Amino acid sequence: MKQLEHLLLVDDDPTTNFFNKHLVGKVRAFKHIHEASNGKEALEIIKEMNVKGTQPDMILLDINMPIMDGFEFLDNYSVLDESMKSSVVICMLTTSLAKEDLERSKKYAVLDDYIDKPLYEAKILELIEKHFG
Amino acid sequence: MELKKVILIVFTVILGAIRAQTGFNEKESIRNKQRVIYIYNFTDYITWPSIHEDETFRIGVLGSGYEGLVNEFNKTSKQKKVKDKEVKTIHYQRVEDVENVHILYVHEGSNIDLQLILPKMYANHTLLVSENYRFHESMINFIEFDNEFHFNVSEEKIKRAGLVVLPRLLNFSIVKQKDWEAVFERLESEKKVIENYIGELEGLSEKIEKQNSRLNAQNEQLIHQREEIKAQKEKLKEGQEELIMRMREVRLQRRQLDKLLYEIKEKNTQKDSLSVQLKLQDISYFERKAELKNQSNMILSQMSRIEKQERALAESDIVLDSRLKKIREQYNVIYGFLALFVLIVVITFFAYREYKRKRRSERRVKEQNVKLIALNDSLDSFVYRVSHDLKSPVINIKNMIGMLKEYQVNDDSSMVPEIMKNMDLSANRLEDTIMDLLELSRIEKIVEKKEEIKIEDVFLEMLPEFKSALEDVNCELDIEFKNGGNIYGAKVELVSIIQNLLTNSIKYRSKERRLKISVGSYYVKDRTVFIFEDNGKGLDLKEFDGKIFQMFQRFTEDKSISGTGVGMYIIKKLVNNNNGDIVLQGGPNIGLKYEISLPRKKLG
Repeated sequence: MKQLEHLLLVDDDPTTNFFNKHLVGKVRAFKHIHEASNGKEALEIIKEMNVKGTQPDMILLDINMPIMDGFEFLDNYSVLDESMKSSVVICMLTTSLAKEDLERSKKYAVLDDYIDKPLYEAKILELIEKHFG
Repeated sequence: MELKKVILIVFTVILGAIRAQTGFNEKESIRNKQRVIYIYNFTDYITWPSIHEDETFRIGVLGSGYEGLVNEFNKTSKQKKVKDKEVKTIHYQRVEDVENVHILYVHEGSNIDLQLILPKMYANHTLLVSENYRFHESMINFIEFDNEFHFNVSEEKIKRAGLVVLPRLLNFSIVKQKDWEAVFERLESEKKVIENYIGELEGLSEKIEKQNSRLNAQNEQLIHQREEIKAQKEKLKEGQEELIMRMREVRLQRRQLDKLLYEIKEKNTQKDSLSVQLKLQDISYFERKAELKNQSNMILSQMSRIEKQERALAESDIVLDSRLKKIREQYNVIYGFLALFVLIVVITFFAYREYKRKRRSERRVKEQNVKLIALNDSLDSFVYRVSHDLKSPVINIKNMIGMLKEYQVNDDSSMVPEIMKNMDLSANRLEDTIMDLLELSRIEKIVEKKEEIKIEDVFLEMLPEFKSALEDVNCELDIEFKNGGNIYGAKVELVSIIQNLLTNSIKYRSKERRLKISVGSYYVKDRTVFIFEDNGKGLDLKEFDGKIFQMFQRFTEDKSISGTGVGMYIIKKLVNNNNGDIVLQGGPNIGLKYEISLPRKKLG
């Protein structure tokens, strides 16, 4: 399995980010792991990375976040310059059982996948295999 | 000598007779004038049939010895017309001569029996005017008495002649036979007195003549019988004396007669002027008559107009009656409609009441439905939060335990403090969430008892609970309530509102400045506006517009500040529970100002 460069974890819960980082690190799927506690922070990180000539390979996105939630992030991300989102895989990662959230997610062309929490190693590997394999 | 005396006496008698005759003639001439005026006047009151076809108006005088009257007629006819026609007067000597005339005058002195000529009069439409005849013997019969003419009119005979007589003429005439006879008798008796005198005079003349002849005889006898003459002379003397006496009487009578005649003459003159006056009066009478006729015409036209108006009135009365009838019918219809209307109103009222009750219940059902839907939504949200906010910390704790196990297997304790910290964080978060959810379920379901309370009292009462927390951050507190900020609300809920506000202010205070909290109130109409203002981090109200009071919304980027995102929702919900409104002011790094308007009195 080829190692990917950048993973962006977007979740307001620090413990979730702490645990996900631990999991991703364990499977060594990404060289760099970035953290954002809401959509707004995530957008800033993407822009910063773009300045450095790089971009995340994958974004794991929570829905319920303060300041800017997952959907608002997608709205803003959609209108970003194409250079910033050419081969980014975005995956919605949520504990939500609400069907509306799933239905709403399907409307976003930029969204590639939708998985339930909790995340575990096999899920990460499967995800990478599915989108980068 | 004797003879001379006799001749003288005879002459005197003859002279007196002649004089008397002269007086009579003058009187007769005046009478004729009067007769003519009278007969002319009669024509005004009589209407002849088809007179317009006649060229002249013909007056006949019957009997010999009336030339004077005929002359008088002829004189008058030159000046005066009758019925706008020339008057022609014809003198007839005999009854058989009488032709077709309009008026025939006959004097009783002509000794003509009127019964003989009347049929002719009837046939010829002739008005028979007679004088000195008996009452109603002719058509108009007049009589001169006391120097005045009186007349009677036989309307019956006039009508038989096909003539029309005006009633006014009848008014002037003597109507009753008795009155006529009385006048007639008086005339007759006067006449008789005069006749008697004349008779006596005639007797005397005869006697004189006899004496004369006797004297002649005696003269002849004188030659033969002188002694007889003497005796005769004595007798003659006696006769002479008697004669003188008689003559004296006659002279007296004659003087009286002259006097009488003079008076008659005077009266006749008066009569003439009177007649002129009468004529004038007649003229004015005719003028008045014409006037009266005009007036009567006017009255007649007015009468006809009045009649027309009355007829019009009667018609309009009929119209009015029919209209009244119609109006009454309409009234009945209106009353009917009114009754129907009232019935409809009553039915409508009850129907409306029923409808309103139904609607009210429907509305209640609807409101309850809305509430149920909202409750359902909040339940959905609740489930959502359970799936997320409850699940997340539990998953986290589980994951942390898993990590702990991993590290324990590898005997690596380097990550343990980090894992423990996250476990602690998640456990706290779980606790907060559970507590918030409990609070949410409480405010959704329990209706707290409302009463008149003062915000200041409640605020001061619960201040000790926050004393240490406020002191820890060195908070400056400013309290200024109007009238204690009296409101009508649930105390428990007000306590909860203030707790949340204070908690938020402390939690989201600015790190750059000392926290300052101002509380107070003012009145707007029947509401008290509760002011809660801090100088903390504040919020971008525009950015989070519509989200601020939603459930599970957090607006801080500071990861060190834990929160479930229900505080604002709870504040809003509790304010609403107390019939209040909330307005938020402020901005990022300025602070927040809550203006919570609450009723002062229980709402109707």
